[in-house]
Amino acid sequence: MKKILLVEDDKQISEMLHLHFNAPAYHLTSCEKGKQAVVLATTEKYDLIILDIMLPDISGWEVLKQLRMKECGTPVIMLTSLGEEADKVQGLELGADDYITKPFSILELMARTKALLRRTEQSKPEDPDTPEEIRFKDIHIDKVKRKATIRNERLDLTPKEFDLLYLLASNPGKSFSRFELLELIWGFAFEGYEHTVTAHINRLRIKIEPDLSKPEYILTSWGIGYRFSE
Amino acid sequence: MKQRHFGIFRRITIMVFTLTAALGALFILITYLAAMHFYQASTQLLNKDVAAHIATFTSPFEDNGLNKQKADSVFQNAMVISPSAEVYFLDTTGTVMYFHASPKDIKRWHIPLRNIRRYIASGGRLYIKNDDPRDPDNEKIFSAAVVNGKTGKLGYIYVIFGSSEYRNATQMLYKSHVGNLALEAFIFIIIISAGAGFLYVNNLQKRFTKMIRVLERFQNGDFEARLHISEKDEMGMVAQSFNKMADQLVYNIHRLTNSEQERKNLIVNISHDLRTPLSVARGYTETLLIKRESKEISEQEQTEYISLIITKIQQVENMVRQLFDLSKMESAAFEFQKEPFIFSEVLQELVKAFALSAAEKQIQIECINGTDASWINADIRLMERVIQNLVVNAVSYTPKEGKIRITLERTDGELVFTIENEGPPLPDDLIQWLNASEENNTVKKPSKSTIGLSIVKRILYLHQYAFEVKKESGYGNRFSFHMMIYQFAD
Repeated sequence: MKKILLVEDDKQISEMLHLHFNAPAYHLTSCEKGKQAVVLATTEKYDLIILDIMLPDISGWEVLKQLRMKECGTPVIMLTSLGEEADKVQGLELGADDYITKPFSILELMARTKALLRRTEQSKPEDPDTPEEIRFKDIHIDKVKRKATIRNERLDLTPKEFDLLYLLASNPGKSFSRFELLELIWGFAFEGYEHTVTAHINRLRIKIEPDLSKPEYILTSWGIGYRFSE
Repeated sequence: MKQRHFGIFRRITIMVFTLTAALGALFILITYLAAMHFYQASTQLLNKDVAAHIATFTSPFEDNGLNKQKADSVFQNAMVISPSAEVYFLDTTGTVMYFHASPKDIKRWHIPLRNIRRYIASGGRLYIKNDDPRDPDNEKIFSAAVVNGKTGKLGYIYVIFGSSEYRNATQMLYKSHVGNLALEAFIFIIIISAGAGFLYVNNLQKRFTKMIRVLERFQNGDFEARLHISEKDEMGMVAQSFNKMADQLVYNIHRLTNSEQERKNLIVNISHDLRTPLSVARGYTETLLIKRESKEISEQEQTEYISLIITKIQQVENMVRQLFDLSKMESAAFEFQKEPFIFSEVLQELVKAFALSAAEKQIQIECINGTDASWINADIRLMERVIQNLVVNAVSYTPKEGKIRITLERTDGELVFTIENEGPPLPDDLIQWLNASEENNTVKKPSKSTIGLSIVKRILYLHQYAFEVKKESGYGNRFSFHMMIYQFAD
């Protein structure tokens, strides 16, 4: 049974969630205030927190910040409203694992919850099957040192760009959709945020491709996504 | 008509008049003083020899004293010659010895000799005054001579001019040419300056009144009121500034009214558009409740109703989201992030995502030159919205088994996106509005417009991408926009 903490001041939403997050799969505890949520989350062990942003005392962002400061690593799904979208990035930086916009579909929330719980259980142990070193054409990737070079020149990559390059290069010829990449690299997956992947793929291309009009490393799988050259 | 108080003009008039009058009075005073001194100095000069003559020809001084008979005849002669002259005989110390009056009239018996000596030394050419024995408070002009005998200095002959000096001076002012001239000039100046001043101020005041009338008209809501002042003076400048300001204000009011009207239309449309799916959802929910009570509904029907309700709610949700996004994009503070990307990749992915909903209506989506690898520099998320909205729009307006054609075309430094769909043509006013530039506020947003296309227009405007909407010659619509191809610096 998974223990879930719901921080939400709207009673109707709270009641609706109680209808779905129930025994035997879940045990849902709900509280209405931010400060109370911080106390609960740090004193008891939860598997997941569903956190609303608009709370009567402190904001959901503040709750998240305090939790992460207190080294409470419980996965968090933020519930945002329209108009708070600009804050999503901020939320992710603060350490939110996913977010869902109100009005939301209960089915979607259930699916995200399951996915996030699954991800937290699976994560950590490194996949031993992936190669430590990859060489392709002029590119050389060293997984252990987290270092990539092109024609022996070190590439200046951000962590996300490195992860993206490594994931694609370790699966040459395999097409990844933007959505998949979002889930695999960023650890969260929801519609309407795929442009982040597009942005990173293109920044990566600008750094590694000799001719940007004819990419030879990161190829387009038209209508599907991206793949690494075989 | 309302009585006005022109404080400034009244004050200017009073000021000008007061100044002129003061200057005039000062002029008269100066003239009077000048005339009086001229009169006195000339009298003194003309009579400078009177005392000397008496001393030479009829001196009553004798070595053993004053010959009073002689003295009396001197008084008589003097009176005949000049009625204003009064003769005194002084001893060597300046004390009055003999005179022609009652002793009680004499208020000062001792006359200081200093000025008398100076006068004699100058040969009578000095304009100088000295004490009058009868009126010691007011110094008078005089003539004096020293009388010498065998034993030396016997005394002085001292003649005061001025017994009637004041009367003369006043008369002079009224009668003399100088006095009259001054008075006439004074009156003339006052009249002319007051008249000219009044006319000038009156003219200014008239122009000002005209100006105030126009301002009042404007203030009372007549926004056509403008100042017509051709003079290039300060008032002309004020008028020009006012006219410019009024034009700007009218322009802004016009814009505001337009956008207010647009907003009203939008709200009317939105509430209508929202009401429809809401009514359907509510209707089916109520139907479910009623039918479940009477148990005359099959499981399958229940599922159908519920999915319909969900679809309708999603429609409402989508509309609210779009409306929110549009208002956000229309705010001046809206920021977006440009970065280079391959447009066709995003396009293909989105087209693929919509292929399913198109297939439900057996609509074919054809993509020409869809793998053009041109890079553009734009906000990825916003450009996704443009493609989404245009494709969704095309799919919903294309009839069953219709066609949609998407073309990417590379021209001079530009990537041109075109989407054509079969179906009923868009209303003319909507096409006109979509093609009008954002700055052009004369084209009103049609009452019937879709939020989706408004968002497209807004995003393309933000990116400065030219947007064009046309009716197809046959049956359908054609939307296209031009994107600058991004050139890497290398």
